[in-house]
Amino acid sequence: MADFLVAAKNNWMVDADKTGWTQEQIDDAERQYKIGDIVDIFEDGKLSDYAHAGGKFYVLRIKGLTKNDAMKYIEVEYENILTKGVQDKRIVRKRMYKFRIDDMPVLIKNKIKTDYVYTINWSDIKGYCFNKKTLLNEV
Amino acid sequence: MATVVRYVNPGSSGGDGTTSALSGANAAYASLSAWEAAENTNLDTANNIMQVNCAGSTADTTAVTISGWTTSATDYIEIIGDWAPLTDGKFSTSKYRLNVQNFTQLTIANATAFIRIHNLQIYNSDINTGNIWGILCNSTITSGEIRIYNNCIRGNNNTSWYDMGIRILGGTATYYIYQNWIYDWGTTADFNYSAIYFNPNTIAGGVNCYCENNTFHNNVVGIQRFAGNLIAINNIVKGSGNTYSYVGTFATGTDYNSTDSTDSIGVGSNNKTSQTFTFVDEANDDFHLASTDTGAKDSGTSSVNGGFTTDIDGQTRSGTWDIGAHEYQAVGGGLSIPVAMNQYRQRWA
Repeated sequence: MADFLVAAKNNWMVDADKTGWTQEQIDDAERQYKIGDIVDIFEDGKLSDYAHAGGKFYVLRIKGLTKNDAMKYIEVEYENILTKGVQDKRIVRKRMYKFRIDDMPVLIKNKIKTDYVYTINWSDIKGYCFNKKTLLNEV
Repeated sequence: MATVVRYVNPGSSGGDGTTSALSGANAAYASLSAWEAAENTNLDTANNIMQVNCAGSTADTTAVTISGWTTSATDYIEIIGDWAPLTDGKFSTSKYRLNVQNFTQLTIANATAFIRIHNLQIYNSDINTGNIWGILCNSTITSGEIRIYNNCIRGNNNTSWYDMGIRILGGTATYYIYQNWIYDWGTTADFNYSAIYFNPNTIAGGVNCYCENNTFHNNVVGIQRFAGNLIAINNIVKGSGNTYSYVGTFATGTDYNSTDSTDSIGVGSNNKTSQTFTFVDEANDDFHLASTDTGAKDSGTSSVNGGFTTDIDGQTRSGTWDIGAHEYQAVGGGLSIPVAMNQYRQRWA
């Protein structure tokens, strides 16, 4: 079992009025956390019910998955670029994986959005764990 | 202007970060990454400084990326660790530390990056994965002022390639890197290992990095400049050899650096080569200067750009400054304060 800390709110840039923003600023907003992004993963039982931080996170306690196995879900998505001929990495998105909260069954979705804390089997939720780079759900 | 204070402690069960408590609704965030995600905001509009205090003996194992904030010269982010080298002596597992496996520990990717990081311990304990950097100033930075000071940034003599203590690739910002201990980055004689690497992605308008009073120990490359203006003053570079202590062309103003090698930094008339440094407990990575030191004591200048007047311990520098992060402070019996503290700890432990 592992405790997932999942973004319950978009970064402020995502929803901001972008009138007058440069393309660079708009691109920057795209890199930021959005609802469902997996921010952090902890050992089973680490997080209390208060870890939602006043509704900023969802705390998902997921059974059937160890922290070590889950760590890939907090990977940052980078692209490799060259800076004056030198290898560099630029962030594409802060997280490569997200949970498609809004696509979950209504009972589960509502419970998560109401309580901010939910315990569920990995087998029941992994189909909603979405890789933003490959555009595929976990299977 | 107000200062918003938040707390991080990896020993916490998670809360809203408004207190240092380890449990309850107002408990500290359980990771720096959680703080960053929860508090991310437009500090400039709010007219706030965001100060985050990191503490605790449990390692923070999640990589941190600072981005998506709006900051300014007066509305900045300040990340403060609880590492106190005066009393801790060296890297301490009883204090907060970022210790991430297989990732760069802390990435600054904010477009406007007015950020200060101090008294933080960063440890790359992984030895098999390349492209691991202690602090990465990402190329997405377009403006700002970044101050990284009084930190302990520790590698693990990594055998994979491309590992660096501080790697600066950002654009038109000013970087102040001072009074850090940066050690054990890399093993193979190659430019791709370095304590500090400066290669801003644009040098339009001049991009300055002031690298001052740091102690670099046992890194493949000490200070490496690829582009931009790197002004190096009062740094100790030990253990990087006769070719790699200094790499690149340094800017005017560079001076008063000291190394055990024969490598010349090429700018300034008060640099020292082939020096012998004596630290309080070098074998255990305590790089406070010993009373018997001859390579760094009373050999520096107080004309620095970082605006600091105290050393890595928070002790006031006086007289002719010492080179490196620590200013030797004689106390009764001829002992330096770190040695005296160590004896105190041993006596009363």
